[in-house]
Amino acid sequence: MSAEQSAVTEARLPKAAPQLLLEKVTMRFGGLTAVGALDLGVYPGQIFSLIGPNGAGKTTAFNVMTGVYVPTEGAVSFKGKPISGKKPWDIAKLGMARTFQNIRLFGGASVWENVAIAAALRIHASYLEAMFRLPRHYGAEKDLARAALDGLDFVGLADRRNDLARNLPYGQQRRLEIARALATRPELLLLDEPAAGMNPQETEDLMALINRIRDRGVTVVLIEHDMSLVMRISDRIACMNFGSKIAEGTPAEIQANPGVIQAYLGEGD
Amino acid sequence: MHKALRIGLVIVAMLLAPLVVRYLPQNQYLMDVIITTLIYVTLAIGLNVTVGLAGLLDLGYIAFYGLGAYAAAIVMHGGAAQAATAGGPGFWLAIPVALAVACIAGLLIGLPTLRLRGDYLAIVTLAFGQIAKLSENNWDWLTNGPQGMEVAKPVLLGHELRSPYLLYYVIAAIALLTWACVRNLNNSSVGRAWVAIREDEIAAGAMGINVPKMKLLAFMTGAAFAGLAGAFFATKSGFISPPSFDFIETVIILAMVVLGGMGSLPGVILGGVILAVLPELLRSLPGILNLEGTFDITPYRMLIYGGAMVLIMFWRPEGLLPEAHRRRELHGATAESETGTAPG
Repeated sequence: MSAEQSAVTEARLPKAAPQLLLEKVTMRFGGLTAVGALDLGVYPGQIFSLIGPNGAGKTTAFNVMTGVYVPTEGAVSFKGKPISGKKPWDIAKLGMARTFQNIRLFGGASVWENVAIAAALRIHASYLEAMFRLPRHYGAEKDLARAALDGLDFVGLADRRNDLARNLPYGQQRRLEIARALATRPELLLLDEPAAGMNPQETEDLMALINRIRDRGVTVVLIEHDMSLVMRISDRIACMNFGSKIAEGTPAEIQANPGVIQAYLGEGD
Repeated sequence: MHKALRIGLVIVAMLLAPLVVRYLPQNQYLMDVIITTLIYVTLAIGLNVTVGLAGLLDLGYIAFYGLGAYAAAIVMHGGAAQAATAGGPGFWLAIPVALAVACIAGLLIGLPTLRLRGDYLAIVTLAFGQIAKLSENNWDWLTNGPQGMEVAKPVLLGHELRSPYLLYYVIAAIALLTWACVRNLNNSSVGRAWVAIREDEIAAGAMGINVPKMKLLAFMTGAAFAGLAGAFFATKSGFISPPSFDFIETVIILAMVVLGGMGSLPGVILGGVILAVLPELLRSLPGILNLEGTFDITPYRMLIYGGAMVLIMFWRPEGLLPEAHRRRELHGATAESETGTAPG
């Protein structure tokens, strides 16, 4: 397997176990198998892309990883610990964060509050400390405001901090979702179609942003349909179709894989 | 600094209010209206936590008020007492008990409703309110049933607080405490977590917010202040019976929250004041206008009351003093000056 990897990826590939590991994960809804026996291993520091036609089960896989769904069969582990069956907030606490395909910001809250809400996972005062304004509350509020501003600065939204999240243009909403997810201080970030609806310039900025996130030491798992983005940014790509993984490899290998081409373009004959 | 000054002025005004009212005509009646208004304001602030901030529609809210009232009465006089005795542990011990009973009730009603949203949650809480009222009506051995219970006045330093002027200070303290606690929670990670759940539960969970825990806290916080208000209501009125805790009361408090501006603390206070004072104002309007005897307003009182509510909602759908953010959303303004919550 390591023979297939580019030199860059090899350098990033630690000898240790995968950071995120899916073993024979199956997710059924009634009679429908959304994900079937999916094996996936993501290593620390990688940018790992999950591609495939619409309805292939990519977002369902994300929902299983983040605890929104409990897999029907199989196991998910993160940093060597089993996490299937754990609640989303427990998984977030372990260091996994995500964005959503159909943007799910806290629309009625301001931009900075969106980030502060997520940052409160690591920085917070207790209920009673907040209610009675004990010193810890003031310390926490100061740290949260700073963390929120730093996070907004990182994605270039600091000047929109007091706007209502709902009133941001589409591309900025996507970047705010990333800032919000990063505010939970994740070790692994799941991005669900971050480039959807973006113009070419916004996509270029997004690519630079994802690279900067990885440079901070955060592993990135990406669901994306923009193939030019996926091929340029990914260390490794897995392609899904009808709930199963049909190929995995480097961008060059995926581009040359007949199964992948068939999945995207349909039956040849 | 300006904010501290404003708060200080409000507190001074509240301290001095009875001294002014004393010199007005019908001062006993006026004090009674003020006390009732403060009870409603406390309830509106509490319900605003559950409904306005956390977005959990609770149609059984008045049950917590009733449980607080009955808990206080039972602590002060024992179960099913018909005549209030001045002895016993008294009102001050009844307060923490009422608080605890309301909190536990909030927890119990919260638990099965965690999986429910919107309409379904509303129906379950509505049923809870009915169950509480029916229990108060039927558990004769504990609550004396439909005949109700007499409740003694609070005793402070050997003096019974009989006068409305003194009782006023008790409810003023409860209302201020409620306001301060909710305001503090509002501007903290706790309040923001509630707003996050209201805006998008899935995203809130993914950002590390323990959604069931925060929902329970929202229910318990709202319930606690209703329990406090209930304990005061019991001692103030000197008599409680199940009809005081009817579903219509929840509706009125909910109307205060919606009319004032869901999620907005100044808004729900204003809503509480208006909806508590308006019926009394309408009652005394003919007297004020010297129309007594020529025009009987009584049949039209509730019509005007309801009509005023419809007009306000028509004129300002987001409430009289909406949440800072909400106002900007509904009126589409983006001016920096309207931003209520800058960091730092």
